[in-house]
Amino acid sequence: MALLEVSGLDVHYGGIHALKGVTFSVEQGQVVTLIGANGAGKTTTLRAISGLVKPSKGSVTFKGRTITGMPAHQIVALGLAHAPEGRGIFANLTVDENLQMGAYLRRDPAGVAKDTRHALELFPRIAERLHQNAGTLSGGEQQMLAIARALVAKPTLLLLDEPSLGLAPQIVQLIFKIVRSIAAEGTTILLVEQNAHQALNVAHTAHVLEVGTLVTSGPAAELARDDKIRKAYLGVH
Amino acid sequence: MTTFLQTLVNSIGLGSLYALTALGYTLVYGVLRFINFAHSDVFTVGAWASFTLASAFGWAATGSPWFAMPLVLLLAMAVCAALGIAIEFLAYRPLRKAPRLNVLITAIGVSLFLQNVGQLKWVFGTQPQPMPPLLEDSSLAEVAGVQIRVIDVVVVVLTVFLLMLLEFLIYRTRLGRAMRAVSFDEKVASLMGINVNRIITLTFGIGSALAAAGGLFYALKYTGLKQPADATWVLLGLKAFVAAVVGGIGNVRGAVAGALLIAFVEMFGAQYLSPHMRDLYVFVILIAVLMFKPSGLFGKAVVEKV
Amino acid sequence: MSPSEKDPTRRLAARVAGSRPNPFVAGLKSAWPIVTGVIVALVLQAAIAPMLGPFYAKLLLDIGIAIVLAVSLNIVNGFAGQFSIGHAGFMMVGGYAAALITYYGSIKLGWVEPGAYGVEVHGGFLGSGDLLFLAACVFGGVVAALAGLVVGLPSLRLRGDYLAIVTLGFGEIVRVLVQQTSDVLDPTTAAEASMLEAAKHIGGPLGFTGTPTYVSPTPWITDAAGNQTGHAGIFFVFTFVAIVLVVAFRLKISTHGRALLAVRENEVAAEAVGVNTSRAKVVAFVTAAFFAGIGGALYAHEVGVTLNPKELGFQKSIDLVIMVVLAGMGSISGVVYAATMLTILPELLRDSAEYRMPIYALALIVVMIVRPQGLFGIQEIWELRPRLRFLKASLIGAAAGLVSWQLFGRVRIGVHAVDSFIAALSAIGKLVLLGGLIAAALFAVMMLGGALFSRFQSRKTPRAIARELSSERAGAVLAKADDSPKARPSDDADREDAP
Repeated sequence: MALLEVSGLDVHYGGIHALKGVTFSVEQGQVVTLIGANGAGKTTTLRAISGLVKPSKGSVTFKGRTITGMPAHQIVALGLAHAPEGRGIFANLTVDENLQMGAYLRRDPAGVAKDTRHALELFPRIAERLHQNAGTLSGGEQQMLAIARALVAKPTLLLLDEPSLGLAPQIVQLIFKIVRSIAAEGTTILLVEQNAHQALNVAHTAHVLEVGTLVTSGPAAELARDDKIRKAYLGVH
Repeated sequence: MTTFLQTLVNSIGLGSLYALTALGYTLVYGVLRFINFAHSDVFTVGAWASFTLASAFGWAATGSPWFAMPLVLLLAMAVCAALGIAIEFLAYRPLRKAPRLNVLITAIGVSLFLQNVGQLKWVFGTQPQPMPPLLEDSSLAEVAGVQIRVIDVVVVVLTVFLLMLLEFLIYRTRLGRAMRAVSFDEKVASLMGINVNRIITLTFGIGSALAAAGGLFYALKYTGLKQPADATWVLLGLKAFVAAVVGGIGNVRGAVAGALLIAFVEMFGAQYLSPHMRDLYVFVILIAVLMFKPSGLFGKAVVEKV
Repeated sequence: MSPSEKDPTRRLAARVAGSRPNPFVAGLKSAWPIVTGVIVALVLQAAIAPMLGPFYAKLLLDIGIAIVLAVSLNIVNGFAGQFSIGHAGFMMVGGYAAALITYYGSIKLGWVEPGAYGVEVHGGFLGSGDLLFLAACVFGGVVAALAGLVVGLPSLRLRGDYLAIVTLGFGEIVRVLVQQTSDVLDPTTAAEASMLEAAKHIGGPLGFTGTPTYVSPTPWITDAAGNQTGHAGIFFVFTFVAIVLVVAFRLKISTHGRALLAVRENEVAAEAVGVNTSRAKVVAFVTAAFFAGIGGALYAHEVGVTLNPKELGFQKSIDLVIMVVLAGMGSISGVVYAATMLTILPELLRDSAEYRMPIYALALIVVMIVRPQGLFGIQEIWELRPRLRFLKASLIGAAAGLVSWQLFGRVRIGVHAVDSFIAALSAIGKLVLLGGLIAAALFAVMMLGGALFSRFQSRKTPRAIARELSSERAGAVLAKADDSPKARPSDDADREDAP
């Protein structure tokens, strides 16, 4: 039984059919990536999984429970964390308070303290800015905060939406290094990326989305060698 | 000099009363980003509910027991909290994703509804009523010719206490953090595991309870209770609203500061310029503030999302 | 052949220039709606009003004035989306300005015997008195338009809730200011006072007493002695109705109107496509205020009305807002319909008057939740395609209302509280019955209007064009591309709510 199973997912935004029958699964301990162009439906897939949008058809199963149509806060309570696109940090809260929001549902102060310490070890730059308003952080720092906040929730499954979006190449390197180390610690990750090169490098399994449909799936290493994928997403001619 | 000091004392008393109501506006705006037009009517219901409760307990005559005021206060707060929560659930929740204009019109609808249902003869009726004196209406002290009334002292103490309580709630507790998170971004807040609807319900409850406190003390201070749809209530709610806006809506301390400012301007204007124009000063301030600093004196400018 | 004749664009330009109509003829041609309106107003005054009798003629007057006010509010609230809840303030400004002219003007012109109290109407139909009154209406409109400019300017910086509050504040300020004025001067004193002095004496909290009543419901027929009885109030009111309707329709289909709608939908996007949003908003405010001022002027000279700051407060503004919002912000015919209905209804429901406002308020909330764009949305009545379901629902509603009215009207338990509740149910049942009947009548209007106006409509709406396109060429493609039942063209009346 896979940790997360998505089957036949359909999402409509008004008259727009954004996802058409998307089916895939994420095994415990794996890093799975969804790659694809702008508007392919990657973010929508994550939003449908975490309950931010209601799918019109299909089902999502997490830890063997059907979570389709559940409100986001209940899904999150099952052990899923979603670091949304555009970081979604609370700019009106301090960095420290943002991290505390990540642990909103946790009732074990000792565990929270431990995980917070660990997250801050991964992102020392965040640790320096604990009492600053989160809105004053740079883009890269905000992304780090978003990931750190998701980690404080101690999720079984971490959904990462475009962690490299709009960041300098050096920061992108750093972020992916940390994603890899999070995965190495046993957290299952579903990663959505436009930066296919980096994503395929980190992931075990990859799925390619095109206008709302999964067109190719397979082990990431294999897809990285696939000529069509290389041409379309890796910029290799 | 005595006149000056007396006016000062009176304005602090009046300002505290405005502040109790302004806090409700500001709280709701803080989480939902909309102006709850019906808030002033919840305030009215607070005053009338206090009256009904006090009459039902038979305290219409003088000499009510010492616990009368706290008891009526708590009950009225409970009634209004329930009312506020019901309003949110029935009228505003279905419009959570609707354009702001629709929410605004709905709020006006709710306000009209409360005013006019309150006027029905089997609710509060259209007759003005005398509020039972739950607090001894006397001068507590006289300092240099300045009268300090009991009611004003109680209102000021209570307002300061409630303000501190709110500040603590918002900036020091888990619930407060959740409220601020919801205020910034509902969707991301729900990703943190926050039940957004519950937070909004709680906020409405707290705001409406504060309005009830304002209503009770207003009724105790100005004991002739006007009918629920009287223009006085609308004006009063408006002034509290103006206070919230002037102070920077969404900002708790700003609401109190704005309320005091409004009261100062109103009282001093009435004392030294013309007593007939007191309502005018308030609106002139509002328009001036909105023209030159739309985010209010203590508010932060919010960039509209495109 | 010269090169200019070869160039097809130039040829076309020459042809367009040649076909340009004579401005005089074009002006006459486009004047027909106003001319029709004036003729209708005459007929109402001369033929219909005598038939109706004074009570219903007065209702007709009230409807006309309500239409002027509601349609003017629709320009700023409906078209431009600038939510104003201080419209009665403009009405008050216009009304007082006009009354100032007619009352003190009549005195200055020596139309009143010194010593008499109140000012009599002077002259016959379109005589000097009527002309002064009409000039006063326009003056009231202009003064109100200036006030509109003052209120429109903050609207450049404020949106939504804040703007609503400022307009509300404006209404209150006007009210407070008027209440500070002194009593109206009696004719003897007034004859010597300057106009500026007179402006300070407009009645204060008691109201502007003694204004001449040019707007009367009685028909101006002459009695046996050859004296005119009554005045041409209905004619004047409906002439202004015609003017405001023509202006509103022209505005709606013009570039300026489109600009307003663009501002309403998305200000940033409107700015991005080159709409001068500041100008558009101020123009909307000024136009709306102008007609509200005229409405106020008409109201001020109505028989049985004393211009009073209390009457024209927040409640009046809200009444107008309800008309616009329930009908559909932007739909002119819808607003006319709502103004008519909401003026008649209170008269019909005198015995359950206390339930009027709670029910309006509830209707406002329910409409916002169920049909956020209002009953008609932005469409005109004849642009909607009524559905049989609508007729069925309204008839069923009417039947249910009838049963509830009759049933609960008879039952009495004997316990006071329960009985008053039952009485309330009965009253509500009656209202529902009326509502259902009105809705059914509306269905008929929609059918009739659709059939009639589709012939007369000179300019096709984008919707109509799209409909034609989809039925002709794109129909097949559309049907294939989207097999969901929602996309059937026949359903488009209900598809307004799609974002």
